[in-house]
Amino acid sequence: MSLLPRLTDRIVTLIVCLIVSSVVIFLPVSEAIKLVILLIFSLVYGFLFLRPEKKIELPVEPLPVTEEVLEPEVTETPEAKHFFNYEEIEKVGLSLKDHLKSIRERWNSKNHGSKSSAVSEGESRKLELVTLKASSDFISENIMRAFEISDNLANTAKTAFELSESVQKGVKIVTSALSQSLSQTAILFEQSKQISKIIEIMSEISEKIHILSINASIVSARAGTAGKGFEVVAKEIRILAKETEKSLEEIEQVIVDVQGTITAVVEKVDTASKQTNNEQNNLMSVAGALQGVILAVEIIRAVTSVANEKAVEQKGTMESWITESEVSDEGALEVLDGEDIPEFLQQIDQDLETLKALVTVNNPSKENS
Amino acid sequence: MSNKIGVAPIAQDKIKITVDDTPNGIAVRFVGDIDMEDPSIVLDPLFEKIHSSVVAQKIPEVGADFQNLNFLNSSGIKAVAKWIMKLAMLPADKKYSIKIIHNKAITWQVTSLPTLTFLVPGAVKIE
Repeated sequence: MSLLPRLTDRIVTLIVCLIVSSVVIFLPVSEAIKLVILLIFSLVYGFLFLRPEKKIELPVEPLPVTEEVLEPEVTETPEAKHFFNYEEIEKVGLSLKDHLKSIRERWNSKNHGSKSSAVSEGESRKLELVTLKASSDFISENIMRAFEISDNLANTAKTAFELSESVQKGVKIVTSALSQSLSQTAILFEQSKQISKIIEIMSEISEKIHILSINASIVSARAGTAGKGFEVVAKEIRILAKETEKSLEEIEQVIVDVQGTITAVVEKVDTASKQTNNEQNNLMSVAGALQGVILAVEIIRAVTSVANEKAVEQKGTMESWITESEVSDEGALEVLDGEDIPEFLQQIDQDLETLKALVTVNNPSKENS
Repeated sequence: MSNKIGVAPIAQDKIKITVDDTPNGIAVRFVGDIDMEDPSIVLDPLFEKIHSSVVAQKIPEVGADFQNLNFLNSSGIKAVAKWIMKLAMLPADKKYSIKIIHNKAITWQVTSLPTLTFLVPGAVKIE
């Protein structure tokens, strides 16, 4: 804008004011009315002629669009100041910025913060489920171990049972052999008794032979010389009878000794037989106890088998829970993400409307139209 | 069939099983030896019938008399354990009690049968 037109305007204004003032001073009205007239004139004149130019002059050549060039023009030009209410626009802009910042924060919070809290909540649940699953796996493994141990125990008890059965059979054979020995020694004892009786008879015979030989000697002595030869025979028979008796006595002694030995053997065999009988009963108890262990282990195995089936079932359920939890977490996040966005968009819309109204109010071209 | 659940006596191999009525319910009596290769063929259907009938008729007590059972193999005890575990699975209001009667002179019975009481504490007793 040149300096000359502005100076001309001022001179014209001064002249007009002087003329009007002179005319009003000389009007035949009161001083108050003159003042009111002058005031109205000044206002009308000012409105009609002293308004700023409606058209802002554009530079002949377009300026480079940079902040350095634009900013001084916009801020320093009074017309521009009038056209844009920067304070209001700045306030609205700041408000808009704040809202956008808030949206961004909320959005970030949803996507990272809340999302992460939702995720962390889901993760926490998942972690709990994973921990539960780990516990379930641990229990399952231990049940399997218990099952294997009980299996091993059952096999050991079964082996011990079979071994005890084998020992039981051996002891039974020994008991039977001892029993047979006992009966055989009894027979032997009876036979020794019979031998004793035979020896007793033989002893009696020997004694009778001895008496006969004495009688023969007496008869031969009565016969005189003719009986001498008979005397010799009788004497020999007497000696033989004595020796026989002596031998029989010795045999009888031996038989008594044998009988004593047999009695001792019988007693010992009897004791052994009784002992093996007891051992056989004990072995039967051992076998029974082992059978009981086998059965008890079988009961444990039945229980652990059921427990293991349950644990495997539980494991499957846990895995499906974990999968379901992952899916539901994603769904929850989707809902959370979109939850408050319309409200914020509405706020932005209101802010934009305000901005639009401000621009409209402050835009002279819009005002005229 | 002189019992309230209509189970006929069983005589197979070396074992005889009968079911008799008792003042508190029924008693299953085992006589002989259970030493066959697969006793579950005989025992499983028997125990299933007893279990379902007892539950249906709300019979309070079942006696299992092993006093005259001389031998029981591992497959046999497994069938007994399986029956008792069915009792364990029942809800409290449908549970019945099992009274195991054993012979103290038979070692395997003394060693093994008390273990059955641990399967359902309170519901399985031994005498």
